Amino acid sequence: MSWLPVYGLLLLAMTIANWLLGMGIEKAAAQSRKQLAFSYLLLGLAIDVGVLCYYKYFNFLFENAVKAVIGTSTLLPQIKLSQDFVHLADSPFLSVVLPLGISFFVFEFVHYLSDVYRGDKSVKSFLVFASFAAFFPSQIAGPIKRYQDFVAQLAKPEPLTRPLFYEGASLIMQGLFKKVALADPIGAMIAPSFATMSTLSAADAWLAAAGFVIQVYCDFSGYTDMGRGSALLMGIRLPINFELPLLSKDISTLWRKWHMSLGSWLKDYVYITLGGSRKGAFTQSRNLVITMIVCGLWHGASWHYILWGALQGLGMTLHRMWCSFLAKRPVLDEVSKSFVGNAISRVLTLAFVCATFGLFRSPDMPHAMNLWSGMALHFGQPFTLMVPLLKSGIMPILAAYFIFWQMTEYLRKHPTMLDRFIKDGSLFANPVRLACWTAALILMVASKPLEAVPFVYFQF
Amino acid sequence: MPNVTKTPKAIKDAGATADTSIDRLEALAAQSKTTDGKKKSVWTTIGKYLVWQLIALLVVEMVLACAGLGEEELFAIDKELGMTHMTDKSVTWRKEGYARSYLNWDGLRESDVTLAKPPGTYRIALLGDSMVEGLQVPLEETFGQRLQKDLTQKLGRPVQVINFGTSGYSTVQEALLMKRKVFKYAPDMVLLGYDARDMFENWATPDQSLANVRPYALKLPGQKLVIDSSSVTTWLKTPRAKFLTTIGWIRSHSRIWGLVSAAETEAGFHNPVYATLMALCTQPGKTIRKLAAQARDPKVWKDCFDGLIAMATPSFKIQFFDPPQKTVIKDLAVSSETGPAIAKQSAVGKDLAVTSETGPAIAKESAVAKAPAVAKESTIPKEPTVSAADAAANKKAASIFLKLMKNTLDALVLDMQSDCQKHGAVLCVQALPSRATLAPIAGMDATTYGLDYEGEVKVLQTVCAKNKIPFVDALKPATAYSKQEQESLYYSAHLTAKGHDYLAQVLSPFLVERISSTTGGH
Repeated sequence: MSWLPVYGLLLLAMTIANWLLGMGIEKAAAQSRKQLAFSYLLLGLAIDVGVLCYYKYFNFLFENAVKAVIGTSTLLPQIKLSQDFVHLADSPFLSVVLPLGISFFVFEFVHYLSDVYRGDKSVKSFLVFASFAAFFPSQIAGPIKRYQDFVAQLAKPEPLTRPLFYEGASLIMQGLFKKVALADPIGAMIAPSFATMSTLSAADAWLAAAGFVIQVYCDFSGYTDMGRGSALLMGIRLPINFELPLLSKDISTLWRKWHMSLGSWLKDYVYITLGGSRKGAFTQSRNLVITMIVCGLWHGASWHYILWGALQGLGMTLHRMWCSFLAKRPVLDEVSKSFVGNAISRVLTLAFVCATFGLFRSPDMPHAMNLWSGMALHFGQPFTLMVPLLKSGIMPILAAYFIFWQMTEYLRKHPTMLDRFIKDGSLFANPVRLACWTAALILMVASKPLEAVPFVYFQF
Repeated sequence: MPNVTKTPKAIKDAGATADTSIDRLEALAAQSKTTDGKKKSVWTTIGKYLVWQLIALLVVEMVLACAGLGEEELFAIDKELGMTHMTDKSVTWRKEGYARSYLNWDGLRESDVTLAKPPGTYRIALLGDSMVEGLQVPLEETFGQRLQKDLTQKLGRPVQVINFGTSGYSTVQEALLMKRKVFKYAPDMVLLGYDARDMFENWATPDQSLANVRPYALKLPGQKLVIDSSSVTTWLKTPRAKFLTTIGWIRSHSRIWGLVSAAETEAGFHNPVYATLMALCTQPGKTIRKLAAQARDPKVWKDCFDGLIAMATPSFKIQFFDPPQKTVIKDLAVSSETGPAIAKQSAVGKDLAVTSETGPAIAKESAVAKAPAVAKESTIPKEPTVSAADAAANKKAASIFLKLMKNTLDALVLDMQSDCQKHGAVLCVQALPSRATLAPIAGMDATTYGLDYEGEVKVLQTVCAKNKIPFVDALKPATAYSKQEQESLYYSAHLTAKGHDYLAQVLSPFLVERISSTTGGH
């Protein structure tokens, strides 16, 4: 359960508050009353972040406070970390149901107020502002929009033409395919490995973690595709959110290409606010780690999300240090840029991402430790995930999608002999496009797991 | 100059028919583009669409082949038996457990078996329905192969077990298959497996599902046993059968069809949306007219919506994990007492019936349809609620029907025994451990015409005792098991590897004794 109808009122109230405050900040700034504008901003941030904290972190803070008290009184050092939201919502202290999409629209509000404070124009029309906050294609799981762009498009939406319709519909179909044909079956396949406390073999642990990375990528980018597709049908172009992050050659690039709208939000409103890279290497590393902890915390109120964020920050810091190390050694730099060097860095990056996303997926720390010990220690043990892997038949479907994707990318960029058979103005002529849809639909049915899996990112 | 005059006309045409379909629109748009005087015809465009769709389907077939998906069709249409195993066909079972099998040139899983019996070998032929067939586990784990290994060791001579089990078979189909195929392999023993409701399936009306197309058998008092395949030949004239026959090659080769067939077993014809889609394939004209007439009724739209939801929702959830709907169960419970009164179809009951091919609703429903023909004195009310007098009449009709079915089973088994004797084989009968008794699925009917599976087994035992046919009850030992152990023997309807192990262990001493006693004199 992640939604109550009454939360519509919450969104409405927050929209009104932010709309008024935005205009207030602009007015105060126009009258050059800096102090007043700043206090408006603070009030707005307090409301937005306060609401987010209440719904997302109250249980976590409360539970940990209680545990700290109990822990110190009984001198029991074993802190059982809280699980996920489902677990939190079940806690007897207080059951707060998370409003759907709150993490996303709160971040949009924060962006709005900050940008207005930094000198951008506020939105005068309440209807326009409300559409920005409650634009359904991106309301539930992003991408996190920028209001300047959105408002400009809202004023002049692209008329729905046939090419636009096909583009939007293709995006929706592509997203649906990623979700139904790829993410769900993989999710169903790897779920047992994350739920068990019994020993995992290295192969199982790595495959489960890699499976989760692919699942979360297909799931989330699939959702974004569908959101962008539905927005396109209304003539609005939403920002892209993923740019093949998993093929990145280092962790910093990966984070620039993964959930790009969140990344750029964090960069603009956390990292730069903290001082960014201006005050020396140490401060920069500190800022990176703090930003990524915020990123982890944004995903959920739980210790393993915080640790996950910290690890990402550390990874990026390490990469930055490695880069400055290389800068002084041109020979080594050459080697690292060779084919082998590139391959090694890609593999290392993926391994790091798998290991840390394994932590992200684990319900709590003990499960994560179990996974990690499997990854590091239990080599040469039976590869039990092989059976469900073969049974699901997911590998050829994944490969087919990858090949299809590579082909379309190639065709997009290079003129070929095939063009007169398949191209017609846009990338594909309609007979080809409809044929692709047929194939996608059948493969979706073919790989349907026995139970429907909800979107991973709806919980954030 | 002609180009100038032609182009606006084409555009005007496009505008006039803009709302017909995308294809048409595309066609006209393409037409208006051609400026060199050569008009592209609509047919070229439609052809283009079709060619690309075909390419997509072929690519999907290839991907599915790599993925090992879509090998879920295994029934070939048969004029006499209704259906048999396909030949030279790979089958992958995914609904319960996971097993890949290959049906050889004769539709057998044991691909290395030859027609000629190797000298010195004792051959056992297994007959039965899906429980015997055991497609849910790999061949080596089926009770047949376990027995082969076990008996070879215990008897100190080669024993070969060949599995002729086929999903959905009734006793009459098994008898016919034996005559046609089993004796070619010269078995020394035929072990007939009896599963729940087999005796009612001997008199069951074919429906849309191929697994439910069966010949009739009937033994009237004082008459000879009649085995009649006219039900099958009649069924073959239905649009559905014609459709399936037409696409015969596709059915045995296409993996996309395999997916359709799996979805059919899952959602079945009880899903109105699926049924309509299939009707569109089989009888397009009639269905479209019917739909047009129905479209005015808002209830139809609601049903259609519900059907779509049901199709999209994972089936196992609906069937097994939802709390059973009380009212429906009560309905069914009443109906099984009163027999023919439940002409009305209950959605939940039917869904459950589909999950195990031999489910109660199908057998009952079909029996209902035919019961009046046999027992003419009974009055069959159309309403599910029956008056006391009607209920009494129904009960009487049911008991007459039950008696007829018992007699038919008796005659069939006797017939099989004499057939076996003619071919130098011994007939033995086993009562299979049906899930219906041991670990019943919530909401599933336990009885048919007031007879539960244990009752059926008793009938079978009496029949065997009367005809001096060796009988082994493979159900009984499991009844002493704990609930948990019993459930570990099954997937949703069929035996797990553990279940097969159990069955082999129960059968082994019985078979050792039978084989030693019959071959001891040699």
